[in-house]
Amino acid sequence: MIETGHNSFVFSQELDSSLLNDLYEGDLEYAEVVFGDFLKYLPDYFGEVEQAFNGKQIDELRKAVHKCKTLMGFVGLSTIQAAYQGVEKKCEKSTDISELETDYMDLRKQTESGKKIITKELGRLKAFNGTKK
Amino acid sequence: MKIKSIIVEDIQVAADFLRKFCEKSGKVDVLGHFLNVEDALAFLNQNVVDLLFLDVEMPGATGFDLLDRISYSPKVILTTSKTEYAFNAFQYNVADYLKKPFTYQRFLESIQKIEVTSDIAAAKVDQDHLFIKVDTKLIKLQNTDILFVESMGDYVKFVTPNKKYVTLNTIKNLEEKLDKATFLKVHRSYLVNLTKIDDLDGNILLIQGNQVPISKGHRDEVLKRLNII
Repeated sequence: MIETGHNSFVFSQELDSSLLNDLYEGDLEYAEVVFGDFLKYLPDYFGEVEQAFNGKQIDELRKAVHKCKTLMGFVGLSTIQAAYQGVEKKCEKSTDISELETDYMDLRKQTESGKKIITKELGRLKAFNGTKK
Repeated sequence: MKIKSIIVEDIQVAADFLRKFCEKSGKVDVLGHFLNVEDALAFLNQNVVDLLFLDVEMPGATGFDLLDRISYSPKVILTTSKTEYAFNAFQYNVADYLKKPFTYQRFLESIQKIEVTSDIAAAKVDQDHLFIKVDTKLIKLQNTDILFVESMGDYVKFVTPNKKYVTLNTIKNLEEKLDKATFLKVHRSYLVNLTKIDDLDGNILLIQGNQVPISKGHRDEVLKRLNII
């Protein structure tokens, strides 16, 4: 992570900073809002993934995975987003949900890791935006 | 004049992002945000909008289901994170396709496409007549002479009190070109002149001795426009 001065903010290298720079165009206050919203909605959205997997409902799982995949894009978690996309495609082809158990466990782990990254990044954004107020 | 739109999107963050872009552009008013197709259709049955920002994958019905059931044809920008819908998007004649998350620049390009097509449509609708090509001739039809228009595959049939004319065209294209205050799509194959309706019997409109069916998806809009007291 490289800080380039008091007036600039550089997104964490764990995130797709190129995408985030294009999306937010320097509007870091809005980035703070979206990162906060991500943390607010993620438990419910991943809860839908859990519920569908445990209920062995493959089409519901596909829909819930799709929703999480989309959410990941707004905070630059592109690697995790790609993992979700992979599972979404597997859901389209598979009829046996047990084949997806490893993928589900992996998503769970990656999502938890993503949540930590975003929590940390939100803290940085708050601190940075706070210095400007 | 600003473009009147609604957002149909089940992911709140995506909807908020889009709303922010609309506000920033100063070109688009967002009249509402709906998390599912049913709520959006309930709004669209009571309100006319110029533009739909439409997600595809939502709980229950999909964005394409909404397009099948809506009784008129606003411009549509599909917003989805899945590129596989491009072929369907083409079939539904959507104006543009935005892959989420998209940038403000990409959003503006999309809105410019809408503005261009709306200008063309506006130039065409302010007329009380149209010319249709029948065989080698161009025939002038006054809007007030048209009872209804029926789809016949790649052709349409214009029915007037005295004559029927068959010409190469589509209901979808005519729906955009004809005056929306006078003509209403009542079925995927029929556009009717509202001022010519004599009676309504169940799901059949009677127009000077002709019977025109109303589809389930269009019935509510027809009833609303008939000035029933």
